[in-house]
Amino acid sequence: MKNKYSYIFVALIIASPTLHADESLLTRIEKLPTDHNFISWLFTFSRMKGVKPVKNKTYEDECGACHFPYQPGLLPSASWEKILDAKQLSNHYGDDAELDEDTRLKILTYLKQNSAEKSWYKRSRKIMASLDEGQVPMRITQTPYIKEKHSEIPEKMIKGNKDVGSLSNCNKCHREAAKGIYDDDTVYIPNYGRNWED
Amino acid sequence: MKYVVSGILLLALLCGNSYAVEENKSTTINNATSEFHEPWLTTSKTHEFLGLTSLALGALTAIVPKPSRHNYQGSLHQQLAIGAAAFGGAAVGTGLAFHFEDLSFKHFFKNPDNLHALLGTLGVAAYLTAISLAPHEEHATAGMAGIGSMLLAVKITW
Repeated sequence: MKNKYSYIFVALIIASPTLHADESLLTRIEKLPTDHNFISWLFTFSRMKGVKPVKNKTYEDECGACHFPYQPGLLPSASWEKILDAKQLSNHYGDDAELDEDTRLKILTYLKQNSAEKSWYKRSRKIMASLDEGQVPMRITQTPYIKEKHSEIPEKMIKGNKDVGSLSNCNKCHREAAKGIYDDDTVYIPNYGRNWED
Repeated sequence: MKYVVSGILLLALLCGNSYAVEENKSTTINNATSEFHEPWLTTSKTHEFLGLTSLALGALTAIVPKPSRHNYQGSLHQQLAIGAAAFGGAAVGTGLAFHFEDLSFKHFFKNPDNLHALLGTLGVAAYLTAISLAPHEEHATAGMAGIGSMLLAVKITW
C-alpha cells in the first residue's frame, strides 16, 4: 500500500510541469511542432532558460536589416499577426516596412510557429503567464513581464543614455540577446556597466 | 521500486538530445557580444550551484551503500543526506533572497519560477523528512521524492 502511494506521489511530481498548461498534455503535444513539445523539453539536457534563438534567414535578412530581429518567442502569435498585417506594415511604428506578399507570409508563418505560447523556453512561458486572457500586446516592451523586469531601471540609463535610447534596443544591454539569452548575468548597460540598481 | 523511479528521473537528464544545442548556435548579430565577458560568479550562479550540488548529493545519497541501523551515525549515507539538505536549504534561501521578484501570485501555476520555488522547497522538506525518519523508519520514499522534486525544480527553469 505504501508503495502505491509513493508511485502516485512521484507521478504527481513528474506531471507537475504541465500544471501551468491551459490544455491537457496530450492536446498540447498533438498541436505543437516537434521542437516545441513537452516530451522534447522534458528529455533535453540543453538549456532553455531564455527564448528560442532566431533561425530563419528570411526574417533575419528582411527585419534584421533595420532592427534587432526579436525572437518570435517574445510575443504571442496574435501579436505577430497584427504586427505583420499588410496594412500595419505600411506604418510599422512610424516607418514604412512593406514587404511583398510571399515574403510577408513566410515571415508571418515563421513567427506564428515559434511564438511565445508554443514555446517551452522559460522567458516565453513567463511572458505568456504575465498576459491576461485575450491580451494582444503590440510591442514586446508592453508585455507585463518585460515592463516589470525593467521597471526599476532609471530613465537615464535607457532613454537618457545616448548609446541605448530605447528599451526596444534589447541587444544594447543584453549582450547575449542574439542567442536568446536575457538573464541578469549578461546585462551590461553602455556607460553604466552592471550597476543598474542605483 | 526506488531504483526504477530514480532510473526514470536520471534518464530524463541523460537522454538529452542535441537539438536545442544547435538552436543556441545563433548567428552573431551584435558585435558587442564579442567584447562581453560574463562574470564567473554572480548571485544567480551561486543559487544555481547550490541547487545543483544539493541535487547531486541527494543522488549520491541514494546510490551509496546503505549502512545498518547500528552503523548509521556518521556514515557516508547520513553525511551525504545532511549535505544535500544543507545545500538545498541554502539554495532555497538564496533563491528567495535574489529572485523573489520573479515570483508572482498572478496565474500562479503558469509561472515557471513559482513552480521552481515550490518544488525546490518541497524537495528540501522531503530531504529533511527522510533525515528525521532515518534510521529507524522507512525513509527511502521521502528521500526519492526529495530528489525527484529537486530534479524537476531544476528542470523547470533550466
